[in-house]
Amino acid sequence: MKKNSHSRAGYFFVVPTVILFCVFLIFPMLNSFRLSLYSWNIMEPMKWVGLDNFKTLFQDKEFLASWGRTLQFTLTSVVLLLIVSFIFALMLDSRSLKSRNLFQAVYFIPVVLVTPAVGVVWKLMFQTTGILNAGIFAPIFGATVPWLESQNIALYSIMLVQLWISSGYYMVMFIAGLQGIPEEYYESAVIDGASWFRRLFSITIPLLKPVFLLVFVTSVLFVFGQFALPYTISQGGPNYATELMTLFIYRNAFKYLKVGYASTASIFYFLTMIVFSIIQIRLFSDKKKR
Amino acid sequence: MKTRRSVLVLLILLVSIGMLWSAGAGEQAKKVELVHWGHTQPPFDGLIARNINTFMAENPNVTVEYAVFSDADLPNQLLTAVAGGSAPDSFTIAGTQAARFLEANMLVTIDPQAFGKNTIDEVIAMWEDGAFMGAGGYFKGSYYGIPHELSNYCAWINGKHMVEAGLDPKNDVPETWAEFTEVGKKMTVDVGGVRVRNGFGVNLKTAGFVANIGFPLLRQLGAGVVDDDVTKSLLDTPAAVKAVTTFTDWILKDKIWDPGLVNDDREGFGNELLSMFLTGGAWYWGVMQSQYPGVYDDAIVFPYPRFAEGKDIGGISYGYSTYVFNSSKNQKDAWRVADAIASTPDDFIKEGLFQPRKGYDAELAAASLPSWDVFGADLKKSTPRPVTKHYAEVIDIYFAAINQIVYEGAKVETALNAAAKKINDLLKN
Repeated sequence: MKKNSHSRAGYFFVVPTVILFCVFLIFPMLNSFRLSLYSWNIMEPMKWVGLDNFKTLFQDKEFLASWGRTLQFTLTSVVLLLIVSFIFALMLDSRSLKSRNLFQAVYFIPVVLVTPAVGVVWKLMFQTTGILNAGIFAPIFGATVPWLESQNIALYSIMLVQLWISSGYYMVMFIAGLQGIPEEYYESAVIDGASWFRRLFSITIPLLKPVFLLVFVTSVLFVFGQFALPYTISQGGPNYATELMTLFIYRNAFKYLKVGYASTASIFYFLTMIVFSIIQIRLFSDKKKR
Repeated sequence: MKTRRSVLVLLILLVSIGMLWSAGAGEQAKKVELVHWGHTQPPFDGLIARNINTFMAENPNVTVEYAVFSDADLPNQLLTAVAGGSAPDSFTIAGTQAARFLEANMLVTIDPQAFGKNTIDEVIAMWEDGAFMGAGGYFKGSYYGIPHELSNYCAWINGKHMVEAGLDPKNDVPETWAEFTEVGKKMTVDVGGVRVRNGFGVNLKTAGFVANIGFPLLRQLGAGVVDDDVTKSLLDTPAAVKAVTTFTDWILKDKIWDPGLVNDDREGFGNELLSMFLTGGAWYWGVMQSQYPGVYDDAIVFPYPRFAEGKDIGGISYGYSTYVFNSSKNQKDAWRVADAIASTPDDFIKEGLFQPRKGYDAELAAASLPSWDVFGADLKKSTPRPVTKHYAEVIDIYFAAINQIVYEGAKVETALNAAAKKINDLLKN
């Protein structure tokens, strides 16, 4: 009896969250599935089009390009994030480094900044008169880099900002992982004559595998849904070279009022995330089995 | 007898009370409550509120609730309200933003009687020529919006840069696009192979600005992103190829414009990174005064250059109009409010905006609106922007074609033919 009343109280406490979750997440998600079967511009009545939006989507070169670009942006950024944040963690975890807390704080600062504000500042920095060109490239190399004016460079410029804004966060995760590795392992390895690289590849990286997986999972989710950076820095240009799926969906939904079509693209976005999630769940499952 | 008299008195009393009550109810039935939405733009918010208050004082049976939103938010706020069935009675919005409501048949044509007129022609005659077209109130042969504000782009040049380049600010201001290019070349500055000042520039990251310059260039040669009736594209024409080549050559061939130097052309002009730009209205004087006072005294406004063999057409005109939703239960009163809002053109002028209602004080305009001689004259020859629900898509397609030419090295003709086909397909839907 007592147990039942405890259960009821538990339900009572979770109800508000469940309601909010349903209203603001589950319902819009289910509704976008419904909307994908209609043509709707908000003002006029919805028109049933069945699977036409899906047919159009898979023939839409702009959409397919934005999907491919998003995968490229996500995978490249995530790999770079893993490498850079791990290297920073190794450097800043070193006990021989003086003021390492200060350095850790400095590298972490971009994480707490507002992303759109970061985008605006970097946009200015990327200009010909910005600090990168006028302060570094022009004086040293006598030439400027078309950071946002070249179709081949613009996406990497945004990746650079992505790296800058989030590597501090993942660095902290790696530092926490590094501090969890018993010092004795390294001491034994040193006695056995293992070099720094040997210790890195035989002790540090294998023992940090769960952290690598966690960083991979969270960074994929974070980077795949990136909207604010390309929107504020390049607005998807030049010539759609930085238009990620989020921007494509935004453009169709809010600029063109093609709500049904944008919902269809959102579903494809969702399915892509599902595939990523399945891969990640498998990776974690393998870990547990072992 | 006494009882009869009492009954009679009681009856008279009841009838009197009934009559009074019904009169009151009738009065209540006449009460009209309206909602008007607009974009916030101090000090105009106060000016419009004053006009609405004056209207309410003159019409005590009408109550108007006036709400303002940011210019960028207003279209989405309206869409949300429409979708939720709570649209305001009337609203003021940029002409290009009204197109989606017009095409969805959600707005009503102007009611001349609300303006004390018998025909729409009489209402049109209350405003300056071309005001309805420029401000976006005209759509497919009918008039839907009362002009609220009208503006136009003219060309701007930095006189100090001209002198530095050996040009005379009085005599060397360009009149044709060929002269514009030559003047631009002379004012462009490279130091050690690095561009430090563009002769000319525009925001190449935003479709709207690129289109705003493209419209007049194309129209001067008889082409267009779309035709006047918005039924087909005129980009697949030799005239369009020439106009667009002129524009893209400023980057590719003439090298007077490095798009990487600065994103925002107005900001670039203010910071002296550009010597000329083409997207400034009369309001830009105020912007310069507050943000770029160092350039204010050197800035010169001149009409959009023309092609030597082209038509005498100026830069774009654009504006805001006041519309009434067909869902309004008091459409005539809503139009009366629209009339009241636009009834004080001189007050608008004093604050720096042009309300093109006839009867405005021309001397006041000349004194209050800097360079009004140039802006006012070119406004009469200006290019209105197309009113279509596909506006955003149409300009994006045009913008993509420009991008392909500039960034991919696509042939102008090929890029424009593909763009024209896309626009034509779009307009068929």
